[in-house]
Amino acid sequence: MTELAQLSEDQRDCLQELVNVAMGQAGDSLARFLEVFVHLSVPRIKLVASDEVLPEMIQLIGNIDVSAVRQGFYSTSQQVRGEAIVVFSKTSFDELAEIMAYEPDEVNEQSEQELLLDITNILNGACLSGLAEQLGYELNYSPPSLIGTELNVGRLFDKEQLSWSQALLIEINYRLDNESFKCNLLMLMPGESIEVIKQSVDEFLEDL
Amino acid sequence: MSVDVIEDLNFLKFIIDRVNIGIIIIDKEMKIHLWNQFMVSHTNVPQEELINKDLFEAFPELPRRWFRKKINSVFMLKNFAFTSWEQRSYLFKMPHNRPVTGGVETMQQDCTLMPLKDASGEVQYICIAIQDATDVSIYQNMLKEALTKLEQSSRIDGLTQIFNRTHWEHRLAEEFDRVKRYGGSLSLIMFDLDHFKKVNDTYGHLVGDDVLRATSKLIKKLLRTSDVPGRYGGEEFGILLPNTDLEGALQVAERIREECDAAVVTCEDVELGFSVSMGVTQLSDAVENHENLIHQADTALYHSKKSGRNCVSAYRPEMS
Amino acid sequence: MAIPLLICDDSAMSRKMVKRSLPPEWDVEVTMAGNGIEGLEAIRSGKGEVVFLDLTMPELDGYGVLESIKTESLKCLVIVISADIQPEAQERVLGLGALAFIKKPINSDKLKTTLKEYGLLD
Repeated sequence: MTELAQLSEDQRDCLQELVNVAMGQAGDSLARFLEVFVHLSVPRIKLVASDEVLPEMIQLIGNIDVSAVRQGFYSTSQQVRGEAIVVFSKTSFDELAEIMAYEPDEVNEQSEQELLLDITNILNGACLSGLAEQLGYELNYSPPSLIGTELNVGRLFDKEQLSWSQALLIEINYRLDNESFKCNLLMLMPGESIEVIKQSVDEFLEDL
Repeated sequence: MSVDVIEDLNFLKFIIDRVNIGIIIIDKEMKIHLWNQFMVSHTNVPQEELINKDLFEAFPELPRRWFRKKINSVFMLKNFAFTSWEQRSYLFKMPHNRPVTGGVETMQQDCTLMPLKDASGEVQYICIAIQDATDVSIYQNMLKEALTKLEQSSRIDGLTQIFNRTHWEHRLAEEFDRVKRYGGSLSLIMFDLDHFKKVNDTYGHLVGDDVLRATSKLIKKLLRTSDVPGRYGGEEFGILLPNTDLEGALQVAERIREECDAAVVTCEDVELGFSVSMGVTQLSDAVENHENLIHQADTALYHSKKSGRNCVSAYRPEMS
Repeated sequence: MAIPLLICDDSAMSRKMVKRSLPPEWDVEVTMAGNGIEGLEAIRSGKGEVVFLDLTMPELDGYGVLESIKTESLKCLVIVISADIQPEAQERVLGLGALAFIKKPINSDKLKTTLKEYGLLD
């Protein structure tokens, strides 16, 4: 097994602040687009081993049933790739459908899934792009896809499927003022990406 | 990518027109600026008729409010957006390339909406790329069918070849709701092999398994096609009897008890007789859910056990 | 005489960035606080006549600090420096008595203009 990477306190603090700024910009875009105030929290940054991810998620979100969507992303210039998982612990589809301009008779299981995918795409796009921009990357995204609905957090993915040993986990949560949804956004960037990001952060710190 | 190649606009034009993807460019006013050959040949509308036209006027069948909001999100957030055939089969009604073997009428589509940033980072145009996902959708549907079949087989208890507990209870709940809503009668038999633990302990599990198999075979032979037997637990069975009153159910139960008592299971060198204890109940207005009904039959079953086994009891409220 | 200036932010990097953005000619004595509770302590003990305040912080966030300043009638001028740039967030903090709102990442020219605007710098 390869030696596990570590984040120095400076690196963690710097990343957290960069995420903070990105999250703020994303929150602003969202607020304008959805026309509602978005509550922001302090982002969490951590290096996790593959067998720690699910326990970590249960601790953050609770041992509850959720809906979840995943979306892949990669940097066009650097060797950074990862997946963002948005876990919805509360969704009021009627309100969301109205916000996203569905006709009332269009709301069904399919459109509810589509709403989750769209919200995920908007959150990821706004937040990840903001973070990448500060580090000097540009990101591309794959289409979002549904992991599942009414699924226990502990079953979001199969441990056996995680082929990496360690990943950088960035967690933020969004809550809308009108309570139409509540979700956690977890970005996971495994393997080599950790070193690339650490290096970018070091360069950023040196420029200060 | 070398500069010569991308600066030769003829190359780019050729690619845009011949690639097997629909490519559209629209501006903030929803005016169409590019409509590639793929779109021309699949919508059967020539380019000249569309350039500078409003997208929604040209295609009034598009889901206007929703799609505008989606397009606006790309302009406003300068972010990619997607649609997938799995949630929304298509944006533009177009025929697909499997007219013979397709099985669906309209091309299933995956769409990507891309912000086109100019040198100053502003987005005046967006590009919509449309991919034919019909093939994928057909395979996915085949997979779904296979999974349904698999699910069916997962309803059966491997040992006894009758329904397993989950599915049997599900059927009971359905039947329960049906009778509650539309009326009619429903009875339930729960029964249990007597001294089964002793059989296992004395002769081993293989013999025990044979007794279970013999029991299920026997009840299948005695039941009507509308009756639903299931393996409820280790040596406990349930039978739901639609359109059957208590009297009818008691007769069925008594016949099963008699046949079990008479049966002999031969396994290896062992010849073995066995008996069952049974509880029977009929759905009445007082029963609130199907679990209660099971509980009543179980109570009657327990009464049979206490009365010396190898007998049938009907549920009475004073039993519980 | 140097003005007691408090920089209240949970991120060390962010505090450093704010400190580095201060106009060199501005005569201040800087105190740092890593969360809202530490920040309030510093203000109560007179170390923050001018406060640069972050909003999203653990323990006690910027909104909470502003509320306490109001209820305890503490004498200080607060400039919020935050990544939360939603118009409503700005309105909220101004409503809670903050003097001005500067968005992160901090820009030294913008900071200077704001300080001049409120007469904190000549």
